[in-house]
Amino acid sequence: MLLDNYFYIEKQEKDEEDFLFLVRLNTEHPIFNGHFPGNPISPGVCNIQMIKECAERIMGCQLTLDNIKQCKFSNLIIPSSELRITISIRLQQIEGDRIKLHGIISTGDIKNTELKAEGKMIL
Amino acid sequence: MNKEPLYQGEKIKDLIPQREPMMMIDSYYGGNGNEGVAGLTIKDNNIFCENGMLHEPGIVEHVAQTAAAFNGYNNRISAQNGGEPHIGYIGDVKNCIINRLPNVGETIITHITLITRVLNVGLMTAETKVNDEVIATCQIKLFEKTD
Repeated sequence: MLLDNYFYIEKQEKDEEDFLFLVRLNTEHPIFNGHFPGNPISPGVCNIQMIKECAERIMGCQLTLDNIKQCKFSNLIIPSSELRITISIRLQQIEGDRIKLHGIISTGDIKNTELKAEGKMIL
Repeated sequence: MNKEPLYQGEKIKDLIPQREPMMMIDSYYGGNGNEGVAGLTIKDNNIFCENGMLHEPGIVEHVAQTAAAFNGYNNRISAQNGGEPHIGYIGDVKNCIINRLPNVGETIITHITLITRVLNVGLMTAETKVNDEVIATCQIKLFEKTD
């Protein structure tokens, strides 16, 4: 939905249990015209979706996050071509087709979004 | 809740600061006191639709914009700052349970209840339905930028 359109993955690596994605935003994306005019900010829901799409890439299937236990948006993400964003993801299969997901979006030392959720794999 | 929307179509822009393609409500029905109700008929060109369904970001944004419209409506009737909608941000989302993704063509209606407000932060609970079926519930904290 947003990958290769709203955001691009430049690098993907694994650090012990965590998967790390280095991403950048498409500052020209129409979402930034509407959120908000003259004041572009990455919508919190797009931050959730970016975490989800990185998790889908790890799992190799689509996910539905049907239980967002908590998602904190502690710092805004203001798009710019220099902005380098890191998305770190920890996944755990809980039972059958269900997974637990912990995702953090950060820019440098700043934590922007932290998501704790459960979801189901769409196989 | 009113049967007919108080605001719909272009008039929604009087209540929320989001613009296309990020508008996730198309009608606002008002509500009494601490409650607000907004709706969205899901179109296939919605930016958060895929495979004929509105996905999680669209549902959560619809909830957040219902909350924003509630603030916008109350600001308008008390005519603070000329009643223009304020920019707002989601502070956090908690216990968001999605029972199913709604389909293109369906109308989702969200009912929010303000639990508490401290300065410019409102804590609200939300229930989203298609007809009588609850498809999602959540708790949301919304920051309103008032300067």
